[in-house]
Amino acid sequence: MTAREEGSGTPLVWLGGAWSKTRTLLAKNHHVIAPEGGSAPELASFDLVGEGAAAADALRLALARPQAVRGLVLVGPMLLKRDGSAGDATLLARLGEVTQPSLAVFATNDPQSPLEAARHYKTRMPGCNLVFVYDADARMTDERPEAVASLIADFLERHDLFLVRRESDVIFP
Amino acid sequence: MKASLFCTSRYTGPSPNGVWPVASEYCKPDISVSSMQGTLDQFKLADEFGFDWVTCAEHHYSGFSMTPNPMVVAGALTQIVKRAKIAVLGPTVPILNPVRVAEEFAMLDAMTNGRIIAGMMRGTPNEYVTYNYNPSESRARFAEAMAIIRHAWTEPQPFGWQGRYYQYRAISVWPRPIQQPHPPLYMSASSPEAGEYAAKNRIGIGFAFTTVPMAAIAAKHYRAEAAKAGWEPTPDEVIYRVGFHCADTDERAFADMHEVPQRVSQTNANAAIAAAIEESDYYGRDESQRRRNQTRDLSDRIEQGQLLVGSPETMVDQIHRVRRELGAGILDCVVAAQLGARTVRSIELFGTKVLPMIRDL
Repeated sequence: MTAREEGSGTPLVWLGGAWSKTRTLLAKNHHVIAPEGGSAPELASFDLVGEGAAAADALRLALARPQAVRGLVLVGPMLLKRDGSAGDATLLARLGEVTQPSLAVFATNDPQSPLEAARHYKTRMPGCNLVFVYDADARMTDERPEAVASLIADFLERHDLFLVRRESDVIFP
Repeated sequence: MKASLFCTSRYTGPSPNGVWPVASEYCKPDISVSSMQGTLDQFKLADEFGFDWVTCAEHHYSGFSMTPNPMVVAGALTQIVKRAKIAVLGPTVPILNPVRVAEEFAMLDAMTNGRIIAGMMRGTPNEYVTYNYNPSESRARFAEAMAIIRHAWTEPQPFGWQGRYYQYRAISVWPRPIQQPHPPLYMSASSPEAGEYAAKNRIGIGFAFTTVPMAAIAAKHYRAEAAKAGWEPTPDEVIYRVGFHCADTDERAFADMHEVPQRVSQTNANAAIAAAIEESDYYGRDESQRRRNQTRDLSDRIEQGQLLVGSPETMVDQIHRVRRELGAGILDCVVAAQLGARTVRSIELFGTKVLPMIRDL
């Protein structure tokens, strides 16, 4: 299996999509691995991102290897439709079994991964966090890479604690 | 045609004109109390005399309008105005926390059982000084804030926001708006860009501190853009804000208005601020837009449609023009004079004499 890899640090496996500025930014603090063909490397522990149609693959992997996948991020996932239904009924039925801390990221202008579908990830996956990336579409990882990368990095580092802001608001010390 | 009464909560005592910010040392507590009470009384009268809406708005740092938070006024109005809709036209969105704006509107909607009108304003240019925001970014901030507010009102699950100017990790507004999917939205559409945004997003428009000819051009552009977007605004989706003073005779109305000193617009009241804003590319690009803010005489302002002044019959003729040239369905009538009993009479005449004559326009 060939893969594009960049950076060093915590392993971050990214399924789906093309290499993007977001991945380059994340590679500053992660070992970003983008496997060819979508098959995940045999790592003992890693964070996992599934982008677009490959979000379904990431969910299957998270369900199959709950001990190995630490945190799960879905970027513009295309599994669920606006009405909450899914083509893969088996996977749909198992979403409630996802135990990893999870984050689902949606671009505000992406009809393939509409915001109306976002709420169904939240209701079906316990503990799933939703974040909308403003003024971007399916290319959000290249359109707004700083916004997407900082969000993913913060979530993977702190999981649900990412809800609490830690940047200082001091203007002048 | 419908009408709203807009009281700016003007400070009724002496204070400097032609400066901004106005030093708060001029603000005397007892006059503040009576000014606020007088405003609430006028709103109550408007409700009793049949006005369709009452209006409040956000302005800062002067006695022109002592409502830096119009939501507070609207909260008070929920207990006073029993029938009319309460139009907050509006919060200055780019300088506020948009989630808070969504929450406050939803609260008001619940407190009135769905009688809230949500105007979303970009603000007069000087307002950016108030909370220290860059005016050149106000349009982008406004657009993003509007997106947040709409999602905050309509998303059924908590969500975070990764924006350019705003970042939230969890938004989940309680109460939800009573009006579904949300209260009617309006925004200013004086510039072509604003008209295009409103049309694209199916938002009603309002014009304030402009002229009928200028507003007519902007309204035409808005309707053309709405047609491109596949919809046709109704007259109720166009608000025209206009000063008014009604008396039993034209002579009395004009004499009253001559007692009222004309106010220099807040943006032009501070030359340094006006120059800085112009440099920021916010406001100085349009010479005619600046000229309209210059002080002009009463007859000129009436001719330009900035004021309605006269007896009820005269006023109806003036309103016909607003309807004919602009197609506005809602007049947002600003109390143009704080003249005690004569202002009360003006509100009464408008409600009881003028309104019945413009209903079928």
